Amino acid sequence: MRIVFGRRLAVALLVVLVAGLLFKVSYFQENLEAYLFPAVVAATVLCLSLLSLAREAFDLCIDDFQPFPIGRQWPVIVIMIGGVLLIDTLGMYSTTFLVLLLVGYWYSPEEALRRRLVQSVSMAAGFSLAMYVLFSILLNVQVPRGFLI
Amino acid sequence: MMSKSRALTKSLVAAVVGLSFCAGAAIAEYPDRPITVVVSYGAGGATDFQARIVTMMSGMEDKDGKPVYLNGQPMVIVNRPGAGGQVGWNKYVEQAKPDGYELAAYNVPHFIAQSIVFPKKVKYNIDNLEPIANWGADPAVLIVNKDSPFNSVQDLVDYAKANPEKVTVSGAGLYVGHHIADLQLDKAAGIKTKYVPSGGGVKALQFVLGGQTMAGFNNLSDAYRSRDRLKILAIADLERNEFLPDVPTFKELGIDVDDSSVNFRGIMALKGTPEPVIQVLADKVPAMFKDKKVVAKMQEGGSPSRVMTREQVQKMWKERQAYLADLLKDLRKDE
Amino acid sequence: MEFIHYFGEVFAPANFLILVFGTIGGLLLGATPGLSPTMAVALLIPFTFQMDPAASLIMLGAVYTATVAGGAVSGILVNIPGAPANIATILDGHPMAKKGRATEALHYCFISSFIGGVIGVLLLIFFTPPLAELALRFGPAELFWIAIFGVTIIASIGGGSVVKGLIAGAVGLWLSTIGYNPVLGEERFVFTDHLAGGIHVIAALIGLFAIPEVLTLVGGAATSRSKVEYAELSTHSVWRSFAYNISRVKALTIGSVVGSFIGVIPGAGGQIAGLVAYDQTKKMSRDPSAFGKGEPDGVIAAESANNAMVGPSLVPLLTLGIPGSPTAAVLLGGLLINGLFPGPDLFTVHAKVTWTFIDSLLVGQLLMMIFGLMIARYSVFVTRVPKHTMAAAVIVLAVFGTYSVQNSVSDVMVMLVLGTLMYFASRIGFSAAPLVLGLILGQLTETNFLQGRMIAGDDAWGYFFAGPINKIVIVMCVLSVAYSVYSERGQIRRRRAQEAT
Repeated sequence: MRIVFGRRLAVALLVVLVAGLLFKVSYFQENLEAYLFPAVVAATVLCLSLLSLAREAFDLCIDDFQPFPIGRQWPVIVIMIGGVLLIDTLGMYSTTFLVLLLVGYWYSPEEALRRRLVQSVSMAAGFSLAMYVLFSILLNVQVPRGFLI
Repeated sequence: MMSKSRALTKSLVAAVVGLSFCAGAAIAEYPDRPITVVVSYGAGGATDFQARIVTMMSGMEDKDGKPVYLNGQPMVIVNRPGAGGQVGWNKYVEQAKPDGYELAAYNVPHFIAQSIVFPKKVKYNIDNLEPIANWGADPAVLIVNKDSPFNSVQDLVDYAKANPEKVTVSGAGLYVGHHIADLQLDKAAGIKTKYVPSGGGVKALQFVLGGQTMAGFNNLSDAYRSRDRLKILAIADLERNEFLPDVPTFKELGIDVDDSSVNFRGIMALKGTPEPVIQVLADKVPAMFKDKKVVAKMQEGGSPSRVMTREQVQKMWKERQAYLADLLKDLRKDE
Repeated sequence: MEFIHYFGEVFAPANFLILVFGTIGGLLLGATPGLSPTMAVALLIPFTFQMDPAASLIMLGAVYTATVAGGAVSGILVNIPGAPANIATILDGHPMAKKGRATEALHYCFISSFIGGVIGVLLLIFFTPPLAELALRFGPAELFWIAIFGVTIIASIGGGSVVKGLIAGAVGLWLSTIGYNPVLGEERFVFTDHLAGGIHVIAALIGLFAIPEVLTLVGGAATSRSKVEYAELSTHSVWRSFAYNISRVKALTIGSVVGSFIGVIPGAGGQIAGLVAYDQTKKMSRDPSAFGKGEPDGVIAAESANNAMVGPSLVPLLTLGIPGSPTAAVLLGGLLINGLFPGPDLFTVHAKVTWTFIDSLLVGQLLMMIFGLMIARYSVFVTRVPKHTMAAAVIVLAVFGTYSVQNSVSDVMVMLVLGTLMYFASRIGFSAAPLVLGLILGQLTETNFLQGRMIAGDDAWGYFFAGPINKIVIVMCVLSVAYSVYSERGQIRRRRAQEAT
């Protein structure tokens, strides 16, 4: 019970810090007229976060924290961010294929290596093709082109 | 073994020769793939909608299946809206390749005025862009609500003289043609109006229709469509317009507001685009803008078209630059 | 009654075929996250160059109608609203799907869309002149108060802690100020080039909903062949859904009335119609605590509202040339390209085209419902997709959908970063819906506040509080806040009572 309480207090403090940062960058500006609205909003965020901190301190809140299995999640975050950085060099479709292949392979529940590979390649190719047909052929959206396509 | 490597060398040489041949041919046969045209405003706005009309013929073929303009390669519109056009144009000069396959639509005086007012933030100016051709010119008109007590520009000027800073004037945004026209009117008539920038021409029109602002500068094409609910007092151009023959110019009324606020729309390329490519475009694009079908569609849409060649646009850009630099010299930001 | 004469035109083979394809295509496009109605209509405008005016307007109208409804499909099945208009739908639609009631939720969604949509179009047919006058009365002051009213509902859509909902909403408001000041042109908080131009609402919407979904999917994907977590899918007959749906008169009425009213207001857009209707239905319900946990009334109110908005949003467009929603703005381009100028001429000189178009909207609503209900049957396939495949599909759709909004890789980057942060925030009790609502309302609030101040000059107080519409909306704001406070106090009292026993 103690640990949970401490963690929630820490989170509430973090929120106050973030709110303080927002307020700092919004309020201390030269041209106050242009920053009027963000300054008012940031002040509201700060007040609300202090209120939330007070409520946590007096233990008035229900525990609404949920765990997150970061151990399983970090690869997909890395793959997605890496993918976006590659779009400009590899082009949209090659990157899409690569990202899908990696995600499909990494998270496939299949045990046998060969089947796992075949399944992820076919899924990646299938989705990429579907996107190509939808966006480049049917809707005529111009996407970055690069490697191979 | 020997023969294998020789075959490889041979094919490599062939490939290199082939590639360089292709590179040579690329200029001769420009364009051989679709050309993108960046429009710095959202889909559905006046610039976007006109750009789509004037480029619609580029992919067409004539009755015999022969390409008419630009080898039958289509021009594809890419919208990059934001910050009155600054996002799209900044990205264009920073990221596009000067190969003639990435063009952009320009709005004068918007981009010139922005390059003067924000010399640091804005990366584009008339020196790093190459005009290709102009398709349209939309003069700004001074409008008031049908129920307004102002029946002429004189009424408005008299009222503004008696009540400084009380006359509110709506327009599409900051440093666009409407804003320039308002600045000119203030200067020429010796009055002080309050300019209210809104999110776009249609929104600015709504302010006048709904009586939120006392007057407004707006695109002739938009005002023309709503003429039943408006009084169009004057037009900021050198001559009267065919769409509104009864509306006088400011000059006729003795107020020195010229055509500097006219919204010119056209197509430009990046500086550094190969000269032969520019020549092809400068040659073919104006002809495409003059195509019968394009002209008819523009006319139907109430969009005044004015086709200008590359040389004419170059001259127009220089004149605007000089004039706007003078008019806006007190408004410079971020320096 | 002039409109009845032109129904024949709608059923002319060529036109009808276009209507059918437009509707099916619109449903599919709408179900794709990122391809919002505005995008879909804009992308289709070039195709209309080669069509005759009536046919091209029929297509655009059908796509508009169907994308609005189709956006609910991905929302209900995978928790990603297809467009901002569908945010309210997922609040109860997705929980229903998780309980195995996906088919039923989709039934309610399409039936309510149909009912709301028809009411909206009938308003367009019979009340265009007075509604157009009403639309013009909304200036910056009125729109500012409408936006504030939107802000007041933030607290009640969060689910969970009210304070955390408010914080999320306010952060959303703050995020909307990144980029250029809409009135003064000052660039704010742009510390990286990716943020130039600000955070696009649709990019944010996709990120905030899709990326947490991806992370949840991969986080829960066990090593064995696991499927997306749904309770065993119960089949539900269409007729039973019909009977139940029609019996929910209160939710339908609130949805249709709120949707129609907001549709008329130029600039407010359908983005908030669904949320306002949802909020009102929840507040007037006998059991507000059931909302957010799979209450059919939530889906019914939200969907009837966002489709009821379609017809009235065309009123200011057709009569004044002022679009009531972003999609209507794009539709304006479609009208102009065909030489149809908004204004009285539309109903006299071009009566045939105009009435055929409006009639096709009515018929389109019916077709949308029929095809929608057919699609609902196949929703069972989505529940059979393995988790990792579903995660991959969501990533692809999110990336392509975001990119195509403004052809910008930066938007994709912003989408990913926001989405990842949102996932962790959601783990500590902050929800995405109030954040998105804040983001949507931010620009509306700020722009109208600054413009109002400029117009008002010295007498800002008098300007913002003058006129009947302002006063009505202000009273609504006060009531909305008062109700939130009252209901939270009631909840705390009930909890105390529970703890005491």
